[in-house]
Amino acid sequence: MQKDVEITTPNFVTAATVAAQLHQILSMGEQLQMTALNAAIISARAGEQGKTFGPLTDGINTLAKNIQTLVLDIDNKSVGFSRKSIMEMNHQRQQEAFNKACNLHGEDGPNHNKISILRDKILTDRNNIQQELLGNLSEMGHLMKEISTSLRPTDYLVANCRIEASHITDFCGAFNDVAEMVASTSKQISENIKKSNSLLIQLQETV
Amino acid sequence: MKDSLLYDNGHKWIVFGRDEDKPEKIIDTNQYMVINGKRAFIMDPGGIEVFPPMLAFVTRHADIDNITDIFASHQDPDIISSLGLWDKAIPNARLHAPWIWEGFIRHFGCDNITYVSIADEGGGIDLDGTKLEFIPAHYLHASGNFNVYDPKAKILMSGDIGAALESAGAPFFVEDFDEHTKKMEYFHRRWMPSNDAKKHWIDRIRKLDIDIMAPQHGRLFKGDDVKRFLDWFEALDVGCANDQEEVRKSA
Ligand SMILES: [Fe+2]
Ligand SMILES: [Fe+2]
Repeated sequence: MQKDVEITTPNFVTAATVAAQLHQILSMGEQLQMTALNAAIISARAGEQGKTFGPLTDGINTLAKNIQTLVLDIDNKSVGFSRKSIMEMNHQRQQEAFNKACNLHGEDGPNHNKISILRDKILTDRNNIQQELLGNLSEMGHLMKEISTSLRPTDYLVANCRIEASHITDFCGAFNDVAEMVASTSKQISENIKKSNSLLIQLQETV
Repeated sequence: MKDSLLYDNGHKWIVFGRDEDKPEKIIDTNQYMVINGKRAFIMDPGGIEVFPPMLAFVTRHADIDNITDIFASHQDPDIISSLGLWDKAIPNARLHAPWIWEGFIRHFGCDNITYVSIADEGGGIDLDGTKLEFIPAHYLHASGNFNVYDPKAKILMSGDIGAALESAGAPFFVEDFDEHTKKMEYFHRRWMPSNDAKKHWIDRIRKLDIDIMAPQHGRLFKGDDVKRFLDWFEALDVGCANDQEEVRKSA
């Protein structure tokens, strides 16, 4: 007996894809930290004039660390989601098995009521797991929003960097490079979040 | 799925199998149940696919709450991968299974059912007066493996020993023993690893009074066919996977 099965991507695979995609942000965060380090070296070389870059360097560093923490947090949530999602798949399978048993046993079978109660209990459990899955996704969504929010000050950091750079002729180019690097990394992170978010929405619809 | 009453004298033995609706590539299995009054005991309840008809059929004979015990002769998926489902259906039941497989069998899901380890030397269960013995059959084919013997009904549930690869819809009992050996030979030569273990088991089983030998696949042996099986098995050289000639034949 061959069954026709429509193959759809299981939710736990999509969740892993989201996590893997967000993982790329970790290396972007590292990139930001490298940029901050670079900026600190240039500041030191610029001597007295470079001191104005201190707060900027710190700002970039803090931003990088915050983002990395948030990504790791989402990572954990996604593992939790996957576990629960597999549990939900098992419940679906159990529900099908008990449904089938119920039908085979027949309505006039001596244990029909007891088997239906078992089947209904699995359905209730499955519904509860689905609610938990949705909760899990919305937590992931919040964390992603937090990453976007923490990116907001980068515009200010970049603009400031450019203004300060214009005052120091010797190191103007180097600081502008720093500004450029921060701007482009932050843009990459934003794009990554946007992409991950659309997958998350897709997940919310299939749970 | 079909069911057939094997014994009915104070307590009952029922066999379930020959499931026509099972997916083609899944090996057909026999499941057994002993019922004594308000206690029912299922042996080698089978894989996930066979669970729906099994639950539907066993509960035609016994109340679901009366299924107090199940048994797994060894850890194979065709024996016990349905455990996670039974765990939902009969959460208060006990599973009697080889101690060495506990950590493995639990992978099938065993949150509620109590795992009762069977020691290597064997054990038994008392179903309100009906005593069943767990007879060691190690390495035939699993390294921790048991048969169930009912001295009153004189039935031996022999797990994979005596198994045959049968076509769908075959009768429950062997009718022509010599003909039947063709369906058993490769299975026993390839799945059974040890001549020494085989000899151990045959010596032990020859001391028992057996009317029916009931394997987990294929047909059951009745009367003189039980003795015929033991003689046939004794003469068979098992553990053939490394024999290049055999490997070529099975390829
Ligand atoms: Fe087996
Ligand atoms: Fe088997």
